[in-house]
Amino acid sequence: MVDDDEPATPEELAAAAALARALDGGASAETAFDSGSQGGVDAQDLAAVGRLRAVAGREAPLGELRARALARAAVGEALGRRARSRRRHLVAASLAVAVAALLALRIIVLRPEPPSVLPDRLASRSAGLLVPGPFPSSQTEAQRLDAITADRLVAYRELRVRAVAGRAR
Amino acid sequence: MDVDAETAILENERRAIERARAGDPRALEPVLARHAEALYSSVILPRVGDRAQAEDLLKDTFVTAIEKIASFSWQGRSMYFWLRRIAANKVVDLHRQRGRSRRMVVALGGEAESAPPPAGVDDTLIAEEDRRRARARIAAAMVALPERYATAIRLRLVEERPREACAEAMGVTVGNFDVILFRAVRSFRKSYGPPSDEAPARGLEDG
Repeated sequence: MVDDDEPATPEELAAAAALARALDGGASAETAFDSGSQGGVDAQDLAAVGRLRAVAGREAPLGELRARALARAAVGEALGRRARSRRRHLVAASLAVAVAALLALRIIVLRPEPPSVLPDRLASRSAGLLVPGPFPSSQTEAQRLDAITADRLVAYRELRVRAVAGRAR
Repeated sequence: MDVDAETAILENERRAIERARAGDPRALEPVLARHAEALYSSVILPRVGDRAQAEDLLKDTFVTAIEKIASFSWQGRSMYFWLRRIAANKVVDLHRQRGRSRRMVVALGGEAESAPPPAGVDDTLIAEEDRRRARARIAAAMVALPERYATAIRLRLVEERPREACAEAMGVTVGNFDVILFRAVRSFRKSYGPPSDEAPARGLEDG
């Protein structure tokens, strides 16, 4: 029989035995679970035991080698995080530049033609095309205007003829 | 340790911190290694209880210190107290993460936020003060236990007597003693700081 409390349940008996084994084998949460010897003892039970032993000075010290190893590992981890952070920033900046460049390229290269105000058939022709060759130097302004007007009338007549012929087909 | 040696160590520490702040975190490695034992045995392990967990928290403390070295300002004394505060906060975060009672988290947080000692106070004195506080917490939890439970804990865990000797001292069988000790540990857990029914247990990633 056990304590003056309630009799131990089977679960309590198993847990008590597991705790005893854990203490005899060196109590730590990891070793208890690794050896499969939980039997109702959880990590918090072992942590409580560890706390009691640590305060009583029963836990082994960290040791100089382990201290140096942890310090070295911490420096390595901090440097690794810093490098990853820089890479992330570099990738983000490169992406932003690439997107901006693509947008600029699209704007410059693929710029659409401004729409025409007038259809082609109504766009005016250069006066330089109306009269073959340069105006003679002896020609007066009035004679030039007459030549241009005559050419425009001929062109108008051609347009009207083409339009009528197109409707007749 | 004589005054000259202490001054030299402090000066080396100051220079190492300057180099780290200038962009060379490797300079901090010997400084962190020197403070590791005190942080581990006085601040972290007594409040965590598990060696592997304590080592993880110690490493996390160092990583945080390296990343935040720019925020540390030299005040003519060792950076141990600054490291100690980071370590204590890591312990508080761990217990909060495990859904520990608000009472316990507040108590640990109070220990973490205690005022820095006057300049010139030896690091070993600070470490001893930490151990004293941890012992005081344990003692307060033990006082709340039934006498038989406190005796079982003292015999087996503090005095490290074999089970058979503990059972004989208490006048019970070995099996009986195992059960008493198991119940004692469970009672101690409740007295020290049980998991809270209110605080949600967020991600018990590492058990």
